[in-house]
Amino acid sequence: MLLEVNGLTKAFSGLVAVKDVDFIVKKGEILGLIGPNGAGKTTTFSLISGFLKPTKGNILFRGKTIEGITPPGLCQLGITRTFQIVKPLTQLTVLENVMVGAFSKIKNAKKAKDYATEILEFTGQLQYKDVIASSLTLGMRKRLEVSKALATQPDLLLLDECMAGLNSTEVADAVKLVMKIRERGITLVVIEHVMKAIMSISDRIIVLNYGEKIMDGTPEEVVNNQQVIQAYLGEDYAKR
Amino acid sequence: MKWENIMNTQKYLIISFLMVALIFPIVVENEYVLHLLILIAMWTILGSTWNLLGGYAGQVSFGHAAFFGIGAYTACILNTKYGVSLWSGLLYAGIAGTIISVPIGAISFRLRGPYLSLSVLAFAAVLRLITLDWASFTGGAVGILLVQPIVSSKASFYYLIVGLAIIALLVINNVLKRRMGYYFIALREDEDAAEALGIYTTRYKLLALSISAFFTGIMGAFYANYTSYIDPYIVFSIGDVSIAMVLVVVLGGIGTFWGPLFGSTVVVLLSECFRNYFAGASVLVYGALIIIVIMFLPKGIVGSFKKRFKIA
Repeated sequence: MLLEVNGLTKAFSGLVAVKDVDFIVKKGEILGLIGPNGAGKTTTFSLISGFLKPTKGNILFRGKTIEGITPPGLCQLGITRTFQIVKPLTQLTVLENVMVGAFSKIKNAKKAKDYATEILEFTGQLQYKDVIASSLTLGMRKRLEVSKALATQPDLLLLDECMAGLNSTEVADAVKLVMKIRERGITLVVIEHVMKAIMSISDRIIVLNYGEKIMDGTPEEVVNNQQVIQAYLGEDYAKR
Repeated sequence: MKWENIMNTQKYLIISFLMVALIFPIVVENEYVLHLLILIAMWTILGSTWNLLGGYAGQVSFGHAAFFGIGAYTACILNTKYGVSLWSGLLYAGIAGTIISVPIGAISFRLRGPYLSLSVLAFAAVLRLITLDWASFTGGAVGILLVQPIVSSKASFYYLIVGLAIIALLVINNVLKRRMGYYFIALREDEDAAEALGIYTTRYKLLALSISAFFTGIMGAFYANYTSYIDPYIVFSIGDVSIAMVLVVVLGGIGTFWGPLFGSTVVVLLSECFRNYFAGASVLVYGALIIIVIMFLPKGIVGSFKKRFKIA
C-alpha cells in the first residue's frame, strides 16, 4: 500500500470541504477521483500534497505519517501534483520548465537537461522544447504540467484534470500518456470530468459528493451505483 | 567558475570590450572620463546584484540602501576605529550586508506579496536613524572621513571597480546557469508551481537576497573609499541609492543579464549631461525622460530588443 488516508477532514471556517474521507492507493494502480464541482476533489489533492493542512485525520505515505510536511518536502519524498489551472513557468521554454522539475532530484544542470529531454521525448513534447511556455496551446500546457511533474521522478503522481478542455484527439493522447506513465511504475491518482477517459484508465474509482465519499469501487460498479447516478452521472449516463 | 558559460555566444564581443576597458586609462588620461566610467561600472554592479533578486527571483526590494550603507559603515568603522585594512574591509562589508539581510528575509519571506519591498524600505530608514543617533560609534551626522582611501589615483580606482565588476558578473552568471538560477526564475513565475516541483521557496528567496546584499555591501565600501567620505544621509539614501538601483535595472531591462550595464550607462551619462545643461531643473528633466522611456520601452533597453527574458 502506497498511500493511506484515514478520516481526512478539511473545514474552511464553517464550510466542510472534505469530510471524514478514507481511502487507500495501492502501488502501481490508477485511482480515479470523480464527483460534481465543489465535491472536494482538488481539496483532497491539496491535503495530500501538503498545500493545505487537514483539520482532522491522517495521511500515511509508505506507512509514514506525512501531514504537516511542506509541498517541496513531499516532492522530495515522491509525491508530486499537477494543477487544474495550469501553472507553466511562462517566460521559460518548455525544456527549461521541465528542467526545473528535474532539478528536484538532479543537482547538475547538464544532467538535468538530459533528463528533461528524455522526459519530453516520453511525453511527446520534444519538438516543442524551445517554445516559450506562454505561447503553448491549452492542450500542450496541460501536457507540460504532466511533463514537469514527471521530471521530479515521483512515485505517486496526482493529476488534477489534465484532460479538461481538450478536444477528443487530445484526450485520446492524454489517456495513452497516463497508461504509459503507469508502465514506468508510477502510481497515479487522477481527477477527471471526462467520463469516458476516467472509466477506461482507472483500476478503481472513488466518488466524492459534498466532501463525503459515496462510493469506492471498479468503474463498472461505479457506473451502476444508484447513488452515484443521482449525485453526479445523471440518469442519461446510466441508460447509455 | 566556468568561464565558457559567459563566453559562448558573445565571446569575442566581451573579450574585445574587456581589452578596450583595460587599456583605456593608459590611452585616455582624462580624469573626468575615467570618473564617469567608474560610476558606470559601480552602477552596473549595483544594478546586476539588485536584478538577481528583483529581476530573476522576482523579489522586488526598495531598500537596498540598507545593505549599501551597512557595507560603507562597516568598512569605514573597521578601518578608522580598529585599523582593519580597507582591502579586507571590502570583504567584511559584503559579509555585513549578508548578515543583516538574513533576519529581514527570514521574517518577510514567510509571507507572499510586497512584504520584502516594504520591510527593507523601513529597515533602511531605521538604520539611517541609528547611525545618525549613535554618534559615539558612527560619527552621527558628521559622518566619517577616510583620510587614506584604499587606493589613491583615479586609474587605480578604475581598475579596482572593473575587477570587481568582472567578479560580480561572473558570479551572477554562474549562479544563473545553475540549479539555483532556474529556481530563482521559478519563484518569480509561480510560487505554487515552484513548491509543487520541490523548491523550498523561502530558502531560495533568502539565498537570492543574501547574494544580492553581499555585493551591495561591497559596493557600499567601494563608494566610501571612492568619495573618501560618508554620512548617513548619503549611504542610506532612498532616492540616490535604493531607487536609483531599481531605476538602472528597469531602464536597462529587468530580468536580463546585460540590462544593468545599459541602464547604468544611460543613467550616468544622462544625469551628467542634465546637470551641465539644466542645472537645478536637471532632476525634473531627468524624471520626465524616464517616464517617456518606461512608456515606450516598458521592458527596458535590452528587454525590448529581446523576444523574451533569457536565462542569461
